[in-house]
Amino acid sequence: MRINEDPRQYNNWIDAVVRIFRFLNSAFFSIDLLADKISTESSSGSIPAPFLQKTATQINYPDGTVLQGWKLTGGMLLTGANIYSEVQGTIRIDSPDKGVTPAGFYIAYDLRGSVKAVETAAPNEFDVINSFGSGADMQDTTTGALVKSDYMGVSLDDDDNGEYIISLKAAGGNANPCEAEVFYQFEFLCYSEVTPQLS
Amino acid sequence: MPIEAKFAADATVKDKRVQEMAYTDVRINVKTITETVAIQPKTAYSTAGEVVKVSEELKFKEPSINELESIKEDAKTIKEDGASSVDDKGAAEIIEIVAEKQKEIADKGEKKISIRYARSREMFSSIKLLIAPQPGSDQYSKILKYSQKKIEFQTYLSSRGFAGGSLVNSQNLLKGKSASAYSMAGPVQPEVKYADL
Repeated sequence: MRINEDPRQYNNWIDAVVRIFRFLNSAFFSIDLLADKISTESSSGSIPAPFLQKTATQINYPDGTVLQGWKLTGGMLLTGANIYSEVQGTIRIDSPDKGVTPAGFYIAYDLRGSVKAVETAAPNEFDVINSFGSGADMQDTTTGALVKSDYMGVSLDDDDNGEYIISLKAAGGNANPCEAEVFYQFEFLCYSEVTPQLS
Repeated sequence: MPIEAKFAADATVKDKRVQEMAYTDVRINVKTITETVAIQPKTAYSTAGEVVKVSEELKFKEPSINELESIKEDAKTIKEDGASSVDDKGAAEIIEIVAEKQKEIADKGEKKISIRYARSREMFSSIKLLIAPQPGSDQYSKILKYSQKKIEFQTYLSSRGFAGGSLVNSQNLLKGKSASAYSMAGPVQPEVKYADL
């Protein structure tokens, strides 16, 4: 094609090149810079349901064993009670060698997240964001004041077949109902032969 | 921002009367379980392009837009029926509001219309209606197991001697945002195992 024959074709060609460069730029650099770039099937009307990602974390042993990282992310608004035990789904971790090693092996590698609560009893209203964990502030919804949570964590309940029911647990710091927006990220390692399943 | 009474439809926890009505009431044609969005994981796509698929076999069925409309209408009928008890009217109003919000989100999601909120709190769903699974199905076993665990863990946490002491649901859950005519009569009744409904 001689591009000076038809200016419209010249423009289309340049546009295509620009699009390719933008795509490559996005593809390469977003991998390095954005660990949690997620597309979900959910509507933008709500936060995504919990999802499971493979992470870049790996522990390699000289005998060839590899522990591979996986991360479960979820978020909830906790409101209306002072004790919460909210199921986040089930994770199945199969045997890495067809049953020779029992199913269910995992190492808890990292747990983090954020807890957002609103103070409305003070003269000025403000938000407070703490790390996910026991002691993070929640709002006492009776008084509007912030109170330290007595407990905040994630539990995995094993049924001995490699399946764990995951729950988000929290207890407010007093007898009144407590509220907070919570996001947690739980990263765990399991044998690289296994792909955990979320259901 | 003044403290407003929490309306039950906004709460993560649900009242037993809401749970029971959605799951068993003959006046509502489409039976649902009332859970949080967290029990229905969805497939997410990570940056690296690796698809981490959610197991499909145990997914709960979500009501269609028509089914949500049906639930909403049935709940509205109960709410406005003079013969309904106070508790039924209160529970029906909560179901009506939840169904309406869920329908709006589903409708806009289907049409790929973006939804924007002023505050992050609004983005978190409270209870979500999912089609009640058939007895004997895998989904049925799953929800029985989940609700059993939930009650067990709440009991466990309640007995650990925190300052909170024991499971407390908000009294204010009973009240509408301003002066709802359909508030439930008594204190909040914590949800129960589906096996007990």
